Amino acid sequence: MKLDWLSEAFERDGYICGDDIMVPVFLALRLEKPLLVEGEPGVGKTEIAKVLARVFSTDLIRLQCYEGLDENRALYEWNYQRQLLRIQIGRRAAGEEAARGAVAGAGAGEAPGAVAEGDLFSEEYLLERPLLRALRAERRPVLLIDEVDKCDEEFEAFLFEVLSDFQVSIPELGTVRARQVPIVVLTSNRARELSDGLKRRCLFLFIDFPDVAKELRIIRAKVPELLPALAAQVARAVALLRSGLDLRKKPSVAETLDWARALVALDVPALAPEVVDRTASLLFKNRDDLQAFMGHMGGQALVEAAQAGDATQAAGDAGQAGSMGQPPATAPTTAAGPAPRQKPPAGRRGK
Amino acid sequence: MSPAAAVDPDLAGASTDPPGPSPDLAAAVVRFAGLLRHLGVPVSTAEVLDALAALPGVDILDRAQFRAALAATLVKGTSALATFNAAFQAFFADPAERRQRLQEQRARADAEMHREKTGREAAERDLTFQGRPLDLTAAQKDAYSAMDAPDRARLRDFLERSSTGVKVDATLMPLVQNIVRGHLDRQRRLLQEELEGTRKAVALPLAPTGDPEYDALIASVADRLRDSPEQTLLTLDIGRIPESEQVHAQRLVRQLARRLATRISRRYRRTRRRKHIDLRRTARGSIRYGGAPFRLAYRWRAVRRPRMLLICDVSGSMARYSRFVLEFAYGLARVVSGIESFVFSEDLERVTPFFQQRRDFAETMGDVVRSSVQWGRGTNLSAALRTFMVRHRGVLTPHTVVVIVSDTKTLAAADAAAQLRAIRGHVREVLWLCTLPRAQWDETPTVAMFARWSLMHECNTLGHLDRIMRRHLQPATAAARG
Repeated sequence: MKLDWLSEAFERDGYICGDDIMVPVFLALRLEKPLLVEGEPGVGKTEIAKVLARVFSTDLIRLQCYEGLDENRALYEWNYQRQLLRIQIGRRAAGEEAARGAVAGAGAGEAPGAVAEGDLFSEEYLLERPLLRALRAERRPVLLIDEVDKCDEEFEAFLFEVLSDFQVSIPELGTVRARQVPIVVLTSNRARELSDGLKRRCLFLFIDFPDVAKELRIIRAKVPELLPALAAQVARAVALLRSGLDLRKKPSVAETLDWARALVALDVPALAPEVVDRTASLLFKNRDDLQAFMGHMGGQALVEAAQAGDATQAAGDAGQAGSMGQPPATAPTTAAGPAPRQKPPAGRRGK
Repeated sequence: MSPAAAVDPDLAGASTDPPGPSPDLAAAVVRFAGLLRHLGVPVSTAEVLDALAALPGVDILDRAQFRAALAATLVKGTSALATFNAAFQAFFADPAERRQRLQEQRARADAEMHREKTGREAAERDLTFQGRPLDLTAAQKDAYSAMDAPDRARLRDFLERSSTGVKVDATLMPLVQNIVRGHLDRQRRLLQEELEGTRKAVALPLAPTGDPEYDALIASVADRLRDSPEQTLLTLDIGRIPESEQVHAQRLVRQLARRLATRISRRYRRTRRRKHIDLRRTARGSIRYGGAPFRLAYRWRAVRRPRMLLICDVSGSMARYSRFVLEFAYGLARVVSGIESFVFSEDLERVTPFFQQRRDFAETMGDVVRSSVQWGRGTNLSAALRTFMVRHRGVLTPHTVVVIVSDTKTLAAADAAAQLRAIRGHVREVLWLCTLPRAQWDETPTVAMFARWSLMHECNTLGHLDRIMRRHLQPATAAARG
């Protein structure tokens, strides 16, 4: 497998990125190491695992972390209710056998309905949870351990053990070794610092907000129905919001795409102040940020700034046309392969 | 795309391994890892091996790919990314730039040596007693040469007056020598503090390694990191943040508090971790299944928000530090239940009501300063804590985290330590945010006195404040039923 092949496969799947993202993903596959992905919510961390599963036509096994997640929920659990029922049925059957035996005057011996302990701790009563499922999968799966920063430190230590050896011990069944090392993607929103041990086990990838050019490519790949000029305005407007306002949560790629789709749904030909004001709630996810936008910038200023870029863009386009369509001197930062196909997305980028 | 069409036959992708990196490249990567370590980025041998294993998979002539491969394997957190980027740019610069950097570093070192030599010669020439040079260390001579011209003239004048007179003889020389040494040592400490404060990238250990090329690299990385305004404000002593940067610093404090509040608020949800079976509820629930404990009920851990109690020193220069701590703490208000705040200098004052009106922080602080009789006076923590224990003891609970902001320099320190011990017995934790640089802790006896009854942290930058709060504001848990 080559880096170029993987880049093209990602791009065909609608995941637009540059070498800064593609190289760590490729190396995680090549070195068979887990990939720890950090970044703001909505920049496309989870999507990497989904795209990998699609690219390799394999299963995506997801372990969503939360405070209080323990080994039972992540690895395996014995089906307690089923075991209890089996015991009850066995006991009843044994009682009936004993009663029949007493009537018939049969000799002492083990009742046929009695339950052996080994029977209760067999595959039949094992509930596989995501980690065990990933270890026992027939085909190398993609294991997504989402928001690992939300789990407890004890669970993180357990996870570190699993990811070190790719094997677990089930006391009643013995050691389970991975049939093949899964492709592991861990995501984190940096709610807390992860342990050095876990970080050391992984390759690291930080996904930042994309620049205007890359975000424009993402919009055009994911929302091809949006008019090109409007897509450019949207990309510039969102970049301006991120850099120009002191927000609690900056709009990420997921919000940009929601906004773009809303503009398509509203059949908007170009950004206008009243359109921005009406749809601002798609970009800001809390009241403070919405008020900060209305108070310090507002739709009018945003639209003016976004449209000011149009003139620059037009000048740039004219310059390029004048040079007989030669590519720009500096390669775009996202040049990871051919232009994306204009087709509706298979999945959303981000969560 | 049809996914099947894109499936690579070799999913692991490691069957045709290209040869490993050349010895020169491997040596460069090892050296680069050493530079990162010197700059404070923890890079283990395992990570260096990962980097070497990764390189054959990428096009090393493509700078972006090469950089991404090293970043993925050598860096393990966003906090180290800025240092990595600066180090990469400096280390893997083109040869001409590296040569120029080396020349500049050599010129700087030569100039420094020359300045040092002439400064020491001047000290030996000027600092004499009846024509005999004083016995001074090299550091004391350096301190003399670094003094302003008027200060140097004053010292020469003192020596001139001390060594002349009717009854002045050579027996006085040791006394005069000690006075001069003491003065120069004090100057040296002041200069050191000044240097610490103005050196913006203080997070970098900039001690020279002795290798001119390495030192040139380190200086270059420090220059690049200084360009980041947030990094500068995070590492600059709060007392030395210039007036022009105050607005930016306050904005940064609000951002830090907001980020921390968002992170820790998640941890205040009731945990779903199942640990202990709740026998009473299990037995009650089993009645419907004819007595079989078909559904097990578990006890939950309820998570309580910590209560925060701030006691801030607002005497003289301490007021500035306390202001930032107060602003940070009130930025956490939505994840910390009930902040009680007190300011003290000669005695204690409760200022909580000012902050309960939920007005703009700057306006509130203005009101606090105007109405406070404590602002900017001398320091008596003992009296302040006595007042606290008499009038406000009721706010102490086992869930309270007490945060004291002070440089530990106070009257009646022994009595204050006894009061602190009494408070410690009533609360979850006492954090002491000590504004003195850690290098001065050994020579300040009050630090050890208070450190016995509190968790003492060096806290004189916004970066310190953020790290300490992040570390200690974890939720308290208690067994409860859920």
